Amino acid sequence: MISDTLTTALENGTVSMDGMTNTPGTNYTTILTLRELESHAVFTTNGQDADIASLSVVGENSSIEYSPGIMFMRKQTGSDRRMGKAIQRELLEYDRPDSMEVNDMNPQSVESALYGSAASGDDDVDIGVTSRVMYDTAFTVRDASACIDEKFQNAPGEGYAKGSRSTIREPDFFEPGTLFPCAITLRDATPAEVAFVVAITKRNKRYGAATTRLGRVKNHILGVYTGSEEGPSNRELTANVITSFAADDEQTLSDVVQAPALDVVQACEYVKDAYDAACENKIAQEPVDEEIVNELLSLADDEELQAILEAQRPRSEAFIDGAIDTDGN
Amino acid sequence: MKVIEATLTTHGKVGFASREVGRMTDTDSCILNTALHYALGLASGRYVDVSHQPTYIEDTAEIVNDVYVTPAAPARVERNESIKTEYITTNRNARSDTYATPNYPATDDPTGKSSKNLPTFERERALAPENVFRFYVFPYGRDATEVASQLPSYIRLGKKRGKGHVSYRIVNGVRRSGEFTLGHPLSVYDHETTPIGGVVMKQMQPTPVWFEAEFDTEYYAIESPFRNQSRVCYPADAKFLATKRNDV
Repeated sequence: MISDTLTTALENGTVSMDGMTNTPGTNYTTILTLRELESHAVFTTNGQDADIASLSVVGENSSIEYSPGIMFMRKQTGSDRRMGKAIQRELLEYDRPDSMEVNDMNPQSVESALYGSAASGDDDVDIGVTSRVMYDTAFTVRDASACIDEKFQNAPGEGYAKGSRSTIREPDFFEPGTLFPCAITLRDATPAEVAFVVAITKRNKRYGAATTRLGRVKNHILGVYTGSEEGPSNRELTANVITSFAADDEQTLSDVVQAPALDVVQACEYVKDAYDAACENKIAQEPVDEEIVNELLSLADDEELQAILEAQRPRSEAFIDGAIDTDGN
Repeated sequence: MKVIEATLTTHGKVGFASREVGRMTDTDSCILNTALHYALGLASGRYVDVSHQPTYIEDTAEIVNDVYVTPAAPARVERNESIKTEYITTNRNARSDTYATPNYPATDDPTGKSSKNLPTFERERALAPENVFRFYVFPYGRDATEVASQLPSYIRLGKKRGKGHVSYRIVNGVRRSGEFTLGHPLSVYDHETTPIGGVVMKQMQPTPVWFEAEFDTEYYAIESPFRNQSRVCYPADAKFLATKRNDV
């Protein structure tokens, strides 16, 4: 169950369990993470090529333009939502199943009420629910040329003679050790919903394509922040990690983005420092105590999470039903 | 009058469906003020939408006489640079959480879903990170510094709510009267005046926009973003969807 201490600590960035409203407010909770690849991963949109952006990084004495690989927001959202639905199926019993099928979601479920649904699949009430969890396009700390490799894949079958076939392809693989600083922001969520997203982030370990064999990711949860405003973007966090590595190791910015490997512990510190610095300088957000973050992380076990989801469930249903009653008439 | 000059930088992929051609959606390089009012927190929508009808007029009723936000247009960062918008084209699919989900071509879809406009897979051309846009905020009868302090630094825009950073600068606007050339895009429904010539209009959803035009009315000559450049002229007293409101 969510303790009173936890509820109080998250007060600035959440709404109360019975205070969920249909009108957006300014309660933001950010879960700061660093996603670290522990195996090769495929993040493509056309099945073949990794998506690459172009970013400028300004250091103390120099600036560079580099080309990071991208992990799109929906690559993260899709995987996290599947994990959320799976947890929900495991821990709650719904009369009406909730799936990722766009026209067959159960908008009243805890997961769909939080992450949104485009269509209700119900002929009587045609509703769309906006997500209250916001992701952000994530960028690799190193240049695409240093962290992406093309690998040969072949599915030849068991016959002997093979000609050139469409089963042969050479997709781009992100290398193990690739780092993606990520901020996940919840708006107007309840403390229970925050605990749910923290649990999903902690428990989800597969992202991208071919996740039964590839795409193992470790999500380092670095901190939780609450406030009335949204914090820095992944682009800024990534740029800060690069400049910090360069400053501390007396390297050029180009050395960092072309490095064969980067220290993940150092990177975690830099991501956290960057977010903390933004909170001190210009953003109306405050870090939540480490004890509270640990308490949130400890709620990811089945038993704890089940109690939390069961408490949240009637509130999520009431939130959706209330909105339908008010706006549907 | 003091005017707030806002510079928006995209920090991730920002996409919205300005055009939908078959399985391709395309994003225009102009962000309408209908979206900006919500992104800046000047209007609030609803999390749960039942009616599926836009309520721009109701949502902005409280602030329409206090604040006006112009559409955002691609902006130069340096004076000598040309304006260019960078795009990123990606494929998108809406997969279920079952283990196998085949993609069928629209012409031969045994599930019949392609005729129902349910998204399964499509291509999207969206704004890439680090595109720069500029828009203006007119605080009518309110202190510009106070209004700017209440506007958020980070905003979310578009279909998947891509992140953008906005920085604000207070600039000087001088009220004048007479003929002028429009210096920044104006939504057609935001002012009662009509152009006297030189019109370049773009049909956009939900409101068309005048990109270039000559007007003869009262206007503000706003300090340019760059030194030694002529002022940006914009019609005075523009109001969000002014011609669509009953009280005008």
